[in-house]
Amino acid sequence: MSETTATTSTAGGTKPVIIRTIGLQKHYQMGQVTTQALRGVSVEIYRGEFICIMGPSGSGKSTFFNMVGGLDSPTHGRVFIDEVDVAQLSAVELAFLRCRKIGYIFQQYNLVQYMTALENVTVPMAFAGVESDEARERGLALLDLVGLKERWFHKPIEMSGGQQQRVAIARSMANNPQVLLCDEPTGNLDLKTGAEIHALLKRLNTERNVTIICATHDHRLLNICDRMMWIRDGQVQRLARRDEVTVETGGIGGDEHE
Amino acid sequence: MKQIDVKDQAGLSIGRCLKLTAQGIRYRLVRSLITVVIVALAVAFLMMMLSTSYIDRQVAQDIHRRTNAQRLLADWVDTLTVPMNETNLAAKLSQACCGGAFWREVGKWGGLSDEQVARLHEVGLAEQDYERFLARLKPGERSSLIGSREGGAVFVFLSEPGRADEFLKDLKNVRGSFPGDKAQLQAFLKDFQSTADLRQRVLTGHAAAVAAMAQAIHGQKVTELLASDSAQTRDVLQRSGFFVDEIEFAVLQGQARLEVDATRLVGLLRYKAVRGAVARRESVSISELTPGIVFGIASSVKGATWLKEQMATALQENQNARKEMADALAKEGKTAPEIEKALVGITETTEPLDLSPERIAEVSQAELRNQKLSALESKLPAQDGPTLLGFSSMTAWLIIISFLVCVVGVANAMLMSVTERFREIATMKCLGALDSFIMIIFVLESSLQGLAGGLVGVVLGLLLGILHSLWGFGGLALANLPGATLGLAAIACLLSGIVLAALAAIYPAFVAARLAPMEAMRVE
Ligand SMILES: Nc1ncnc2c1ncn2[C@@H]1O[C@H](COP(=O)(O)OP(=O)(O)OP(=O)(O)O)[C@@H](O)[C@H]1O
Ligand SMILES: [Mg+2]
Repeated sequence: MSETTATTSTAGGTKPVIIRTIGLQKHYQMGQVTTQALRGVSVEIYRGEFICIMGPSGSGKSTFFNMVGGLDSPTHGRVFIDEVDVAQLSAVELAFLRCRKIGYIFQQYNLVQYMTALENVTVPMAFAGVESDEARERGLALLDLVGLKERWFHKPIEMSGGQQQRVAIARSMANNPQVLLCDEPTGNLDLKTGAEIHALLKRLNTERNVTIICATHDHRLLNICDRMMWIRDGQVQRLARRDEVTVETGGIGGDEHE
Repeated sequence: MKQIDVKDQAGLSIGRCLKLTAQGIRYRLVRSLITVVIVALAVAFLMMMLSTSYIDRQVAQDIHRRTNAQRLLADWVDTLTVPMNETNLAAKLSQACCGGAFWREVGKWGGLSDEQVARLHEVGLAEQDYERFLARLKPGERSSLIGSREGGAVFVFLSEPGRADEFLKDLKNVRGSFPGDKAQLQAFLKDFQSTADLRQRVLTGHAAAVAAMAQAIHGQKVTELLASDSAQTRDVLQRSGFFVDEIEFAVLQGQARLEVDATRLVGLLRYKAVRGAVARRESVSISELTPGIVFGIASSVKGATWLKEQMATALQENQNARKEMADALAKEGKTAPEIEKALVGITETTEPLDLSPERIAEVSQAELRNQKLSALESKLPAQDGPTLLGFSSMTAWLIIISFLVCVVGVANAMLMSVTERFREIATMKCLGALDSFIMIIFVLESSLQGLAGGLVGVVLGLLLGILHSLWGFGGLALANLPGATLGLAAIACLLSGIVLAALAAIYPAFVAARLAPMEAMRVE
C-alpha cells in the first residue's frame, strides 16, 4: 500500500485528474477459494493523457478496467471519475455515465452482428436520445474519422478484424466521451493492423484530447503513450512517464516475455 | 475543475425498441421460427377446438330447429295415445307456462282452478331441480341416499317422518350442490304431498282423454287424424279434452301430412311390379330395397312421374289378374259375393296414389332431409357433463397442457437466445442500455414471435376446425359458420398467443437484464 502511493505521487504536478482510484481491491469468491484480483491500487489518471497498462496475464488489468469503467464494483476502495464517486451512482446514473462519459473498446470488437457499421456506431447515440437524422450524420462523420465511410453499410462479418476494430472505435466515440477504455484492442490483430489501430488511438488522443487508458501486451505502444503502469499480482508495480522509461533500454518490467 | 454532471439515463422509445427487435429477429430467423412454430401449434390447437365446438353447437341448434316439427308430432302422438305417468307429468308441468295450451289442458283434465294449476307448476319446477341433482349423482351415492326409488316415489319416501333429516345428514358425504336448504326441502315435501291428489286427478283426466280420443278415431291412426281436414280434427281433439294452439297446429298438421304421404309413397313397394321396376332402375336386388331408395327416385318431379307410371302399370296388372281370377271362379260357377270373398287376400287391393308428382317430390325431399338430419343428430357430441368454456374437461385439460408445454418451450428457446447473445447484451449495457431496455427487447421479441405464431395458428386452427366440422356435417357446417363468434375466438386466440409468448419471455428477459456489463470484456 505505502509502496503504491509512493509511485503515484511522483506523477507531474498541476495536471487535472480525471480518474482517481483509492485503495482499490477486488476479491473474487469462488466456492472456498478467494482470488485477490486487485490488492489495493491507488492511481491518478490525468485528463487528456494516454496511459498504457501492462502486466502478465492474470495480473488484474481487466479487473482494474471493470472498476474504472463503472462495469463492476470494487470489494474495497473507491473510484472517482471527475470527482464523482462511482459507488454513489444509481444503476440508471451508471448507464448514463457509460453512455456518454466513457467509451469502451474490446479485444473482440463486440460489434452487434446484425447491424451495419453505421447502425453499430449509432447505437450509443440512440441510448443518449439523439435524433436518428443527426445520429446518422454524426455516425458517418465518425466512420470517416476512422477511414471507413465508404463501408458504412457493411455488416461485421463482411469486414476484416482491423476494420471491425475501427468501427468499434468509432462507436466508442459516439457520444464524445472523455475517457476511452481499451482492453487489449490489438490482441486479435496482426502487427501491421495493430500499429494502425495504435496510430488511430493516438490521433484521437491528440486531436480530440480524449483520455485513453489502454491495457496491452504490445510493447510498441510504449512509443506512443504518455505514461505506463505495470501491474503484477493485483498491485501497481511501477508507474512512469515515457521519457523516464526510454532512458533505460530493453527489459522494462523485465519479467514480461510475450 | 469541471465536474461531470451525471444524470438519469433516459429510456428508449417503443418505436426504436421495435426497430431494433425486428432487426434482431430477422438475423435470428431460425431460432425465431422455433418460437413461432411452438406458439402456432398451441394456438392452432385452441382455435381448432374452439371453432369445432362453436360450429358444432350452431349445427346442433340448426338441426334441433329443423327437426322441431318431427319432435312436435311425436310428442303429440304420445300425448294423444299414451296415458302419462307421474314423471312425465312433472317434467311437463315444470315446462308448461302460465296460460298455455298444456296449462289449460291440465285444468280441464283434473277439473282444476288456475291457482291449483299454478301450484302444480311450482311444485313441478322444484321437483325438476331435485331430480336433476339426483340424476347427477353416482349410482352408489344415489342408492345410499334413496335406494332404488325413482320419480315421485323418491319424494313420497322422503316425506316419511324423520327421513328428510337423515337424507340431509347423508348428503354431506356426497359431492354436488344440493338445491336449496333444509327448510326449502321440507316446504317442498309438504307441498308435494298436499298436491298429490291434484296430480292424480290430472293423470286420471288425461287417461280418460286418451280413451275418448281412441274411441273418437275408431282404430284410425292418430297421425292420419292430424293430417286430415283441420276443422274436423280440431273438433275431435277438443271434444276429447286436448288443446292445440293455432300456430302449433299448422306445424303439426304439415308434419302429419308429410308423414302420411311418405308412408303411402313407401307403400308402393307392396306392388310386385313397382318393386321390380325400382330394383331394376337402381340395379339392386329386391331384398335390398329401402324407403330411402324410393325417396331418392321420387325426389325429382321426373322420378315422381316415373314412379306414378310404374304404379299405373302395376295397378293394371293387378286389375287384369283380378279379372282373370274372377272369370276363372265364375266358370267354376261361384256366385258374385263368393268371388269377392275369394279374391280378398289373393291379389293385392288397389289403392291409387292420388298425389301430384310435385307433391311426391316435395315429400321425398323432406323425408330425405329428415333422414339425413337424424343421422347427423346422432353424431353430435353429447352436451352434458361439466364444461369449461364449452369444452369437455378432457379437452380443457389438453388445452391447458398444450399451453404449459408452449410456455416451457418458448421460455427454453428464449433462454438459449439469451445465452447466445451474452456478449451482445453486455456490450449494449456498456454502451448505455438500461436494464429495462434489455427486458423490453426480449419481451417484445417474444411477443412479436407470438403474434406471428398466433396469426399462423389462428388461420391453421380455423381451417382445421372447419374441415373437421365439414367432415362431420357437410354443407350444414358451412351454412352454420358462426362468423362473429369465430371472429371473437380468433382475436382471443391471437391475444392468448401473444400473452403466452410474452409471459414465457419474462424470466429469460430478467436473466438477460441482470447480466453484468463486464461480461463484454470476457475473452473466450
Ligand atoms: N469473474 C471472475 N470470477 C473469478 N475470478 C476472476 C474473475 N475475473 C477475473 N478473475 C481472476 O482475477 C484475476 C485477474 O484477472 P484479470 O482478467 O483482471 O487479468 P488480466 O490482467 O486481464 O489478464 P489477461 O492479460 O489474461 O487479460 C485472475 O486470477 C482471474 O482468474
Ligand atoms: Mg484481460
